Amino acid sequence: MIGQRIASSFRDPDGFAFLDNGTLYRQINPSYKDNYALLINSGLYENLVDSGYLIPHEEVGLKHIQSDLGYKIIRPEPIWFISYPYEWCFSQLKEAALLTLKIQKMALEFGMTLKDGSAYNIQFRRGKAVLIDTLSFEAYREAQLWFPYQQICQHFIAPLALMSYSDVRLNQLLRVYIDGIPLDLASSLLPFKTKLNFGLFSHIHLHAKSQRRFANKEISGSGYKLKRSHLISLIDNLEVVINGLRCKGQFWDNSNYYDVTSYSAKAFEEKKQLVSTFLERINPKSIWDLGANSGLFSRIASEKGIQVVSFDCNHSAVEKNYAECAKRKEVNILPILLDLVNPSPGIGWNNQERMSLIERGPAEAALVLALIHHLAIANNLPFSLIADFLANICNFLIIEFIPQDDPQVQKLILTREYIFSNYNQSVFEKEFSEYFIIEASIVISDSKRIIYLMKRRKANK
Amino acid sequence: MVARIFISVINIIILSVIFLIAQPQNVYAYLDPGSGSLVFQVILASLLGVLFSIKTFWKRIISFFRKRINSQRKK
Repeated sequence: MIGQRIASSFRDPDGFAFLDNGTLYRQINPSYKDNYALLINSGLYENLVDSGYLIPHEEVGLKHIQSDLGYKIIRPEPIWFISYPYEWCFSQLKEAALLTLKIQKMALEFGMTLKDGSAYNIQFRRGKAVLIDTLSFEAYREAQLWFPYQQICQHFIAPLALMSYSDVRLNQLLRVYIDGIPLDLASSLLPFKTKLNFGLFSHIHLHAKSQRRFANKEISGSGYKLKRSHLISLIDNLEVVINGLRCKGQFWDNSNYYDVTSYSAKAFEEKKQLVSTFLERINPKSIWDLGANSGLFSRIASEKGIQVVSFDCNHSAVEKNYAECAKRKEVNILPILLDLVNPSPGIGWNNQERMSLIERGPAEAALVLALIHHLAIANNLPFSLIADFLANICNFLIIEFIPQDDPQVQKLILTREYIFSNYNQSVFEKEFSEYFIIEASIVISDSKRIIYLMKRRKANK
Repeated sequence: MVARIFISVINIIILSVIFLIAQPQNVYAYLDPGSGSLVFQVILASLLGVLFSIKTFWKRIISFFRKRINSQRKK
């Protein structure tokens, strides 16, 4: 049976990932035979998996083999939602960076090393970063050069330094540069004071100079040696540098956003209760919470054992959500930085290397609370387009309608000249009914807001 | 804090000097910008390795004298 090859893994000559009937497999080519044997027999695999650093896998029969080149097929534990570095907050990227270095150190103890240091090899599973590329290891040859260094600087140090010293929004450069932020660009964007920081001066500024200096120069690859003790010092230093970086404060802190909305305490409690009841009615395994803020409603779902991707476009909200998840040792919530009016597109080679948001759906259900006015008024999106988009990404919808006389809506309308005559409940219901069946709608008492439970009309993907 | 900045600046000067002295070497392969990363990591890691050795050595001297002072005090 031939499965569908995953577009993100074409670069590795040692194997690739493919989907077969919805299950992810990884083919290992004979070129990787010795390294795979070393990974398993040295005890490195077991140690990595026991520490939660590497995704566990099972070896399966060769019936899934993709070509004559296959040596083994493995089935890694599935990751239910794939996310990318440009969708992570500062602390998530930092955790992924530190994990990569921890893995490198552990690999060295077992006579192996990482082949690359790509941030795309890291995913989040049960609230923690984990390496998903089992074929990332190779036997360590004494004094060999350390190839992941460049990627670790471009994928991790550069964006973290920019987020720390310049602006958190510069993580979006990762969306433009698929192999990490070019160091000369990072060097030119970082403020002068980073040149007085030994770590950043060397790993970014001087490193960028070195790249420029040796570009197009013919040098002997074998002429350079890196002693193991020196390599360990380099990794230790990278750890110190990364640990020393702190997220730069935000220009807009929405941390009290829930408290200043127009709800009374009673109405807010009722809203939580309604969401909880609707979730129980749908009983999904996983949901997407759109405009999740710091994840209060995501937590209602996660407490029911539902896995939640908690999206927000505000970095500080995502950061706060992630901190809360870490504090509560949350295993069901994945906070993600995403602007719904410009969601992640398919990027990389053939626009297929990294999936668009829509390709990663549809979700079983979506929570769209206190968001519709932002889309319809602040972004001028007609209800029909919002409904069309939501029908693309979810099967069930729990959505809150906020009437025009709500103070939050009034605030948005005040600054706009247009008259939003179409922004009312009957147009909302009519447009959404084109795409969804309205199964229930309940007005939150003490407020005029309405919570709907809807089911998608068109057949599932 | 001042001491840390001072050490940082010294490190930066040492590294810059090493970097300026190091020359591209003999001709074998045509490498992309990655070659700059490979050459640079060797220089940086060597410096860090040496600094680490100095630090360890220094700590040993300090602890040696500390032990002697402590044992003399006990006497």
